[in-house]
Formats: sequence, structure tokens, C-alpha cells
Amino acid sequence: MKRVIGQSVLVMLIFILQNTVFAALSFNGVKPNLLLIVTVFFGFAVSTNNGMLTGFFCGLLCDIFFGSYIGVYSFLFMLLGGFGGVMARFFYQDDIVFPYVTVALSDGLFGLACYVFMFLLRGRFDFVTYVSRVILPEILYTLILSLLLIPLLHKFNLFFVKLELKEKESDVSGNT
Amino acid sequence: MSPLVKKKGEKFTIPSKYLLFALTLICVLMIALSLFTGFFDGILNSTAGNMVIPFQRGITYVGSFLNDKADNLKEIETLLEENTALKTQVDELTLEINRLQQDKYELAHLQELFKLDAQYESYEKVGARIVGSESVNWYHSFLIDKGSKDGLKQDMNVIADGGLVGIITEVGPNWSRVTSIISDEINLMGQVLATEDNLIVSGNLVTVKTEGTIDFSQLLDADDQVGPGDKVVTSSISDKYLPGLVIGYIDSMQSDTNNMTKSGTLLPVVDFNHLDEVLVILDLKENYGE
Repeated sequence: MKRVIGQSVLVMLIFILQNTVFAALSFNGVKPNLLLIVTVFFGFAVSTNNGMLTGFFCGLLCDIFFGSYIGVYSFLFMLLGGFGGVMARFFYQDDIVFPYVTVALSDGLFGLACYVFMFLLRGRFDFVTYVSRVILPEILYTLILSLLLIPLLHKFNLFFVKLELKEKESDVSGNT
Repeated sequence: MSPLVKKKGEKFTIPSKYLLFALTLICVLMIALSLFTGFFDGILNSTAGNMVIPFQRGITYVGSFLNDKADNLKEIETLLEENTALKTQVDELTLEINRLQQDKYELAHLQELFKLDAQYESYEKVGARIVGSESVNWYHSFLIDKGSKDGLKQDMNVIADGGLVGIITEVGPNWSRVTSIISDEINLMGQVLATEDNLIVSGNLVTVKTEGTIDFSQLLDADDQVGPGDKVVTSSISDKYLPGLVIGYIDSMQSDTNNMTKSGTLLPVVDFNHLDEVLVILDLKENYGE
């Protein structure tokens, strides 16, 4: 329960930061995708389920404020949270590079999905320009920020892991 | 044994594939519901708005406050110099105002004769502060801190710097989303002011990023009178945009392959990178002229 509240507050905070501070810090109109970092992080660091649920709510926030239809971003983010969880099976948890590779990969997938469903279907075929002008800069910016954000998220996660362990211990001692 | 059965002493967890299936179903349901009905408009907009918008307002306020303070310090010196120069100018201008006021009376009189009235000035407007911008990189929309409580409605036009910024596409109780005219999904009818030729203005993600321009197309200009630098305003044909709002100036143009229409790029008058406050026109096009 404490984790649910903690993660909800975190998601809200990141969403607000992304729309205000990082909108002002955008390079050539490109913003980092912080929500994606959070989603993917919980996918590989906690569990696939946690990643999917976190992603779902991150996407829901985007949908409410910026989407044409509720549910599109929720679906995309939810899948990417699950993707983070799936990626964790192929790597060791303490691999240093792995989180960043996953973040970059999933941001690429996110950009690709956005391009295909929102632009390609409207007849914008200039794929290379979209990759070089939107998708790649976003991946780069997101990657740089994930270098800062992921260690912080690790600390955040560790706090709740310890909290849960303590509760479990007190449960066991209470039962016996 | 079914994976859903809870073992003794073990924490209950749902297998990922079931969760994936359930969430997918919810997403599809939500898309369908929001596509065909306005079911979510009230509930989600107000709850999310109440949780997020106050914080965004605070952060944006603090940010712009600090910005202002820094700017103030920088500008004090230049202001002092300017002050003396301006004082002399004031004297000159007061003289000119007197002269112009006489002209204005004459103009008002003539306008009355022609039954014209200055529409642009008579629109009812309300100021709003931008509190957040799009969280993904594919479109250009932003949030403002006024909503249905302040009388804002969907499809109201938004202006700044004397030009058209965009249109309200979503309204919550205390916030609204403005989709700007540079956004890739936006198309609107425009008109070349000088020749009254109609054209279609459409946002373009790529050219906005590279050159700061947006596209126009379908310009019928048989006499070759339109050229770069011509002013483009919103057309009276448009069903959502009020007529006569300045969109921008023609930057470049070429003939289409059909040799009848022309297309090209347009430089918007509004500086979309440095927008802080906007004006929302409270008059809707559907009530226009009533």
C-alpha cells in the first residue's frame, strides 16, 4: 500500500516536472521522456506487473491532458513497462549498462509507434527526417537524463524494498 | 494447478499475461468510450485537473518569477538610459496624439456611415497563463490555467502577440488544452489579406523544427499577385476560427504540379518558443455575427 502511494506521488511529480521544467529546458523543441524512464525502470527493477501498471497510469495522465482519445498512450506506456520487465529476464539485475540500453530501446520503440500510428497513417512518409529530427534527439536526451534519474529511482525503490522486508519480518515474528 | 490459486503464506500476485490482457482490454474500452461518447470528459478531466494543475501553476509561477527577477536586474541600467530618451519622446507624442484624436473622430464618423465596426477589437477576451506543455514530442499543445469555470469552451480561439496561437481542444474545470496552429494535426482555412485568395494552412512538425515555418496549400492565385511577405489571416469560411486573425506571412511558395494551385511555407507571427501568457477569445465562431 505504501509502495502504491509512493509510486503514484512519484509518477505525478515526474509528469508535472516534464510539462513545466523540462518543457522549458527543451533543446530545439525536444523534451526528454521522463515518464518512460520511470515506467521502464519499475518494469525491470520491480516486476513486469509493476511496470505495466506504472506505465498504464503514466499514459493515462498523458491521455487526459494531451491525447485525442483516452487510452492510446496508456496502452503504449503499459506495453513498454511490460517490455522493461521482459528485458530483465535477459540480463543480470546488477548489469550497469542494461537499464540504459532498455530505456534507449523502449524510447526508440515509443517514437516508432508514435510515428507509425500518428504520422505514417496520415501520409507523412518522410521517415528519415522524423527519425533524425524527433526520435533520435529524444532518445539521446532521455538517455542523458536517465543517467541522473535511474540512480535516484534505485534509491527510491530500495527504500520501499526495505520497508516491505521489515513488514514481512514483523509479520513472521507476530505469527510465531 | 492454476496459477491464480494462492499458496499458503505467499503473497498473491497476478501472472503478467493476465494483467496484460486486462489492461489491454481496459485501454481498448477506454479508447472506444472516448471515441464514441463523451463519457470521460467530466470525471477524469476534473480529478486529474485538481491533482496536477495547482502544482503546475505553482512551478510555472516560481519559474517565471525567478526569470522576471533576473531580467529586471539586467534591465535596470538600460531602462535608466531609455527613460531620459523616452521623456523627450513623450512630449513629441502628446502633440501627435492630439492630432490623431481628431482623425479618430473623423474615422469613427465615417465608419458609422459605412456601418463598419472594428470586429477585432470588439471580441471579448480573457487572459490565461500557460502552465504546462505537451509531454511527448510529436505535437505542439499546451495547458492554460483557465477552464470551464472561467467560461472557456471547446473551439475558442487563442491569440497572443497579435496573432493566432491555436484553438482550445479540451476543457477541464480549471484547465484547458490549447492545440497550436503549428501542431501537425491542425488544418485551417486562411486567406491572403491583400487579394482575399483562400488557402489551407497546415501545421508541420518537421519544418517547424528546422525553419520555424508551417505549410500552406491549395492557394488559387490565377493572376500571380501573391508573393512572399504577404499577410495571411484566418478566412471567414472556416467553421471554428474567427475571421481576420493574423496567422503569419508567406515565406516561400511554388506552383503545384497541377499548375492551378500553389503551395509553400508560412512564417507564423507568434513566437511559439517564448509564449507565457495568451488571450482567449470568448466569442465562438458558431455565434459569430449574432
